[in-house]
Amino acid sequence: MSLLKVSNLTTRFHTRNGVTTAVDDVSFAVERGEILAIVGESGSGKSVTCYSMLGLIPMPPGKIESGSAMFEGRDLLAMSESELRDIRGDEIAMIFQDPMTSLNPFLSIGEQLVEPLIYHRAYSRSEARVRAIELMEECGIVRSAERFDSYPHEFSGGMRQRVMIAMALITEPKLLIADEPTTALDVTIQAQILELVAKLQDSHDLGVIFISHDLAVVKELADRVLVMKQGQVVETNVTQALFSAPQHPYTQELLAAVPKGQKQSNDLTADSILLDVQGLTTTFLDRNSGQRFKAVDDVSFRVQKNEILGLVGESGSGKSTIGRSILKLVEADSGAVIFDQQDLLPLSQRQMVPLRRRMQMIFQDPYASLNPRMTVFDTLAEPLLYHGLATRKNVEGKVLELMDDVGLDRRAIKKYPHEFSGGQRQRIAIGRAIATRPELIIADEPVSALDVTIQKQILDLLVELVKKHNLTMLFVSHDLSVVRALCDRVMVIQHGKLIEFESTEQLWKAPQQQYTRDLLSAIPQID
Amino acid sequence: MSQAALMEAEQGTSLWADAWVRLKKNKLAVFGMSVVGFFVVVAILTPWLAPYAYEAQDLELGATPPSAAHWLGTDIFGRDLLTRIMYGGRVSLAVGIIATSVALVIGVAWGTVAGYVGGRTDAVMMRIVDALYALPFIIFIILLMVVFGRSMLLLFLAIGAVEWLTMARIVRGQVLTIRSQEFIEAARSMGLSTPHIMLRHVVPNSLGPIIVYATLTVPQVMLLEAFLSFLGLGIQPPQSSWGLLISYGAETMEDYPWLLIFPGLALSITLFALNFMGDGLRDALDPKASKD
Amino acid sequence: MLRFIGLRLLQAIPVLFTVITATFFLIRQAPGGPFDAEKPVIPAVKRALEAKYNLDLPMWQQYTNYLGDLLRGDMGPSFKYPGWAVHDLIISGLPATAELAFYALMVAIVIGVLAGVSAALKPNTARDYVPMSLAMIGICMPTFLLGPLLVLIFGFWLDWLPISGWGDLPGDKILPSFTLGAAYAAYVARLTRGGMLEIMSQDYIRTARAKGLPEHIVVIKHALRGGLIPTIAFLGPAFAGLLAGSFVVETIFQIPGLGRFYVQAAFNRDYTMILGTTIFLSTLIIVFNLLSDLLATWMNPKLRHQMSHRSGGQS
Repeated sequence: MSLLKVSNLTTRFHTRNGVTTAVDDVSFAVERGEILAIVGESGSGKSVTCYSMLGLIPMPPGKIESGSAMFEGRDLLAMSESELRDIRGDEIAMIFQDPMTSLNPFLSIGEQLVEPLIYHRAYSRSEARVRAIELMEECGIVRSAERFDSYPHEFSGGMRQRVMIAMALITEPKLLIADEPTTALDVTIQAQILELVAKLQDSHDLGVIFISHDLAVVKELADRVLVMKQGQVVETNVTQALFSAPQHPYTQELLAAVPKGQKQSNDLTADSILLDVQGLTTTFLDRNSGQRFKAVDDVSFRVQKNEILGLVGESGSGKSTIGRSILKLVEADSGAVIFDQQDLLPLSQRQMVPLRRRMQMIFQDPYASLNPRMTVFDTLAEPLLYHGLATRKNVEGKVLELMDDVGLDRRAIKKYPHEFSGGQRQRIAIGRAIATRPELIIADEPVSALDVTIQKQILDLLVELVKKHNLTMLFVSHDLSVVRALCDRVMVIQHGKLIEFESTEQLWKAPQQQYTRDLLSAIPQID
Repeated sequence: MSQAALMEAEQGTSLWADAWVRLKKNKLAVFGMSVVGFFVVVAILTPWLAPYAYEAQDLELGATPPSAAHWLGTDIFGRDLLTRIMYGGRVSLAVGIIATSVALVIGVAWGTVAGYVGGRTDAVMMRIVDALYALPFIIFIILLMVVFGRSMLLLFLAIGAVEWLTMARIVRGQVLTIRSQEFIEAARSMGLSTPHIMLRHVVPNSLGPIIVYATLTVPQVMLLEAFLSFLGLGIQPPQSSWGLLISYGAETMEDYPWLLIFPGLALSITLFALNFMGDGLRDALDPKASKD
Repeated sequence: MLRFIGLRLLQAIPVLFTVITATFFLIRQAPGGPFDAEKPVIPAVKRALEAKYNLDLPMWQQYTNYLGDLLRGDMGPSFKYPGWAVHDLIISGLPATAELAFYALMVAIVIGVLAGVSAALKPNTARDYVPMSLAMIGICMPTFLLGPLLVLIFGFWLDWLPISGWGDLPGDKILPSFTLGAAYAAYVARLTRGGMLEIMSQDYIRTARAKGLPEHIVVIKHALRGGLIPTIAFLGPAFAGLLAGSFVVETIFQIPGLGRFYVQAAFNRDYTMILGTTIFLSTLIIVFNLLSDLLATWMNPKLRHQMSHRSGGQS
């Protein structure tokens, strides 16, 4: 008998705007001691599947239309709320994506940890405390007795996820459902958490359902994989077989979209320098301590014409601030940014205006980077008109050309951003950035918010545009696989400092710094 | 070519149009807007619509309950209550709208400057707001009315002067949120000037909450006016307002309850309608609801 | 922690000082002095009276004298009630007002929080619509309208409850307390509902449910702390509103409290009485604002942490 056997599960949401089928006739099984991964893009129904079984979707509007979920022979879907409650957090436990919001900020860590033992196992508070401290230790939280009474805000993201894991495992559940547990974490922390999950799965003989959009992570961790699309299971197989011989076209598409390979460096002529950054330092005021800290610390590099230069680092490393300092969106404290023989830093905002036409930026969040009250036409025409590159008369033609350039349907010219998908919005943002025919583009995590198949399309578009318009691009990213596939040279940033700067080939072949080595080894590999 | 392409372009729906569709679906809000609209029109046309002249009184008649000649009855001086309520409504609505406008102008200017300029200017400006918040304003308004006599102008100014504080906070918060959005950075990286960014990018995106708050301020202001008038510290005879009518009605309610009930109904219905309208606008303009 | 509270108290001093100064000079601008009564007073008598109350001294001297007296807790004599000191009048009116405000606050908190929480737990059902519609009525039915109506219905028509007085007849405290508390119960209900809805949609509530906690534990232990913060922060302003409302309620129900004294003093141009009452009420309001602010801050562990480790902090 399987630990969990789900048959023909269908979940629909009945809203005012109609009925959507989030989970459509899904069947699968999880065995004891097995890691089953459910992969899919956003909206594929992978999370709703698991939440449905445990009665964690809001009902109404959600409704489980049919199916069964046999957990050790008992049907979860037929249980009363109180029977289900006895199983949740006891025999089946969950961890969630965002450890920053999944822990209650008003209660101490310890209080939250002991709850399952107190409510499910009738432990006394002091017994529960002893057990919780043990488990915190096992999950890699040092000095756990001291930190028992701390509040979530006193922990880092990675540590909070460890607390979540300890909380899930405290009742020795048989099944653990992990919903994108590492998506919000930096790659080195992700590696630690994945290692912890694998270790605990082994030592506690857990069945695990691992929900993820990241195929590389899944490949390293899972025994079997279930691929979902639009609420349906399109393919399921043991990990090895699924990755080596995907059967369904969608699985193939997903796998093809995963960034892989390494860009072959162009022969760059050393004398064609477009941008020369010298000793760039930018400081911010830390509200908590009242002191200034260096977000960018004495960074120097040169960008050559027509290259794609990668800028990688983990969150808070200062990589985005470098890009923004170059464009003077934040004021740098010292250093020089020489563009076309002119130092930008001493220029006033007014003096910068003619130069702004020649350097543009693409942002991470296509939902926030477009003015929601301007149509595509307004958004694309604004830079053209402002910089005198078009007249009222011919601006329409130019906007339509731009739309062709970035692969947008001409008929959408009068639509507003909220009427587009994330990928299409990013195309609008790219169109705006190349409207003035700039020489330098700073792309700040331009594909991080997108699903993997869309990510591939946008990256292809960027490469095409770089070639077509002879662009030079500074590509800021936390995703090393993307950088490796896209960039000619790579800079590694840590704590605001440039610690390594190499050609892509050289960096992956022989990283010099320990941090770079850690970073590279932390990336889950797909091939 | 471009003309042909534009001809077949699909018309997009702006967020305003979206909000309008949502608002129209909200029956309570539509009801609220209709009632408010009706009252405003009546208030404007009162001199022509009112069944009796404002000063007309019939001392011999005295207080009578509702009848065919006097739909809502008469007061102890034989004055037609419907006429009194209509004229009183003019004053109450005017106070509501004018004092809200005062608050709107000061609050928006203050909040926008603080939010957009930021830094030390912002800190100083918001400290001032905080300090004023700590003052017990209701007591101060009463004091002002006592000291400087009960003039309408003073009432507008005094009430407006209290309500702008919240408005300034809301506007500043809104400007700060929008300012930190990436599309503002995009506009800056494009080299657009600050006035251009304010006009094209910041203002259109901060209007929603301002409209909502302004709508919800009107009933608050009307309440405050009625409160002061009830205490005898607001509108003075021969002028009239709903608060004043309620105050008179309360004095004689044992014998002539309609003198309390009808002005009370007029005030309550208007406040209801304004609140429903405000709540409906908030739901319709809520950016969270319109994100996806 | 103590230092934080101390600092906040210190910050309240300039506010209080502003109130005293502004009130003092405002009152002196008023047309018509306290002795410009209906019948003209003989100039010599008026001068004598003014000399007696030091009204003939230069303004700044009157001001410094007053500040000095104030520091000793002396608010001077009442101009209208000869032989009465202002602080005695305040003390005589305070118990009724304090009791009234306390009951009204209880009405507001108990009804408001229960209705708000209950509505938030079943949004868009009858359990939400009914109390929220009542709340809307409460907001649109101001104290000065609700009071007379309640008197009309329960006093005159049904004859169930006494219509005036405070502690003279059994049950005479019910109508005033409810009248004053009703509107605030409505505000509290709406705020609580909003706060609870916000919290109930947080990820950590899902976590609590995923742990299999009983629903009442999820609500009381996990949601209520965060959900009530906006309500608690509102209690300060609500208290100020209650005091102002007490002017009306005390007038309607003829309760011998501070509010009624204040309104009468305002009509009588009883300078020292207005000044004293304003200062007293303002102090109360400022202290209450401070308390509700401190409590709301303290309830958030992150802010509490900053409070105890770093004084000053953001407000």
